[in-house]
Amino acid sequence: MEREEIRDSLLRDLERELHDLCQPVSTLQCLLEYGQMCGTPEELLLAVESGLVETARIFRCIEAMRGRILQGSVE
Amino acid sequence: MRILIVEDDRALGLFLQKGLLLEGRTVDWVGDGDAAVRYVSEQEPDLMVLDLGLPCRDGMDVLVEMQGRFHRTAVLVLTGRSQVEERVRCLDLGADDCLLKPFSLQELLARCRAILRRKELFADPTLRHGGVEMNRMERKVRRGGVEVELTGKEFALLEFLLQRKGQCCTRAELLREVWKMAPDSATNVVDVYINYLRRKMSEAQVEGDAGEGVIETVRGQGYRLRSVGVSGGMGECGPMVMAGGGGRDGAGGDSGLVAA
Repeated sequence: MEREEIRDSLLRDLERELHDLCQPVSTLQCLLEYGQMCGTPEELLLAVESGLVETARIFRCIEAMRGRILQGSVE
Repeated sequence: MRILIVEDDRALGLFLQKGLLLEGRTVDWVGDGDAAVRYVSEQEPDLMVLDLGLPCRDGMDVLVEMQGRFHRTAVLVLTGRSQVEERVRCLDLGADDCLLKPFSLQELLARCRAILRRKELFADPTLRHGGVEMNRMERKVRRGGVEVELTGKEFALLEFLLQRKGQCCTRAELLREVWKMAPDSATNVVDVYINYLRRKMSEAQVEGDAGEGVIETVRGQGYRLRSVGVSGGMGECGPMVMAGGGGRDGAGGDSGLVAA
């Protein structure tokens, strides 16, 4: 029973973190497509600069998910 | 077509706005639920792209607040949660479509186009402003009950001005929306057709008409339909919004490529 509760809690946490991950992935996807659609050097540069900010957010989300899984496997 | 983006993530909101601007839409962006409800109450945009996770009032509450009140505004919901029940609830509350995050900008733009196409089909075929009435199904225009014969392009130009309900339309917008030309095209075709329209509409001048033109020039900005009961003059354009394109926005017909 306790094991099941831990599993359910882990799944809920992962779902929340997956939701958080969707935000920067959406932004990254949209700005890359926007850069491709525009094709001007200014917009491409803006897409790259903003893209790097979003990948940093993605890294943080992945790190949180990784930590959660590690924590779950220990418990 | 006026679109409102409701998204609290600054970067995503900015690029959604930029993407929709590329499609030639007029796009505003707000970052919380309260601002969204206020905007819709005041402006009734054609479409609202609504994120569910918002500060102040979340997207679901915005839908509840809007339910049954703002029929002119279609809603596309963006959600990061994969539960089917949530999407069903959004649709039942009046949303027209839901898009699951992460999504592609191309898909979002295509869904917006589809919603606006469907909306147009069910729209009231009659546009009215300042004593001018246009039936888009019958392709008929009347001013004070008097029928005015227009060419296809004149009709399209008047239709765009009527859709803006007396708000200023820049020359760049008219070039892009009516002539499907680049907004910075070196042509005075807009000014020429505005003159054609003015001439034809003045011929349909009715009794009690003070003789003012139907279309007024907003100096340095563009053109707009005169509102009945509102004194004329060279006013300013409406509230500042980001609209697609750019380039020459001034009106006045000082460049001559098309002969009037």
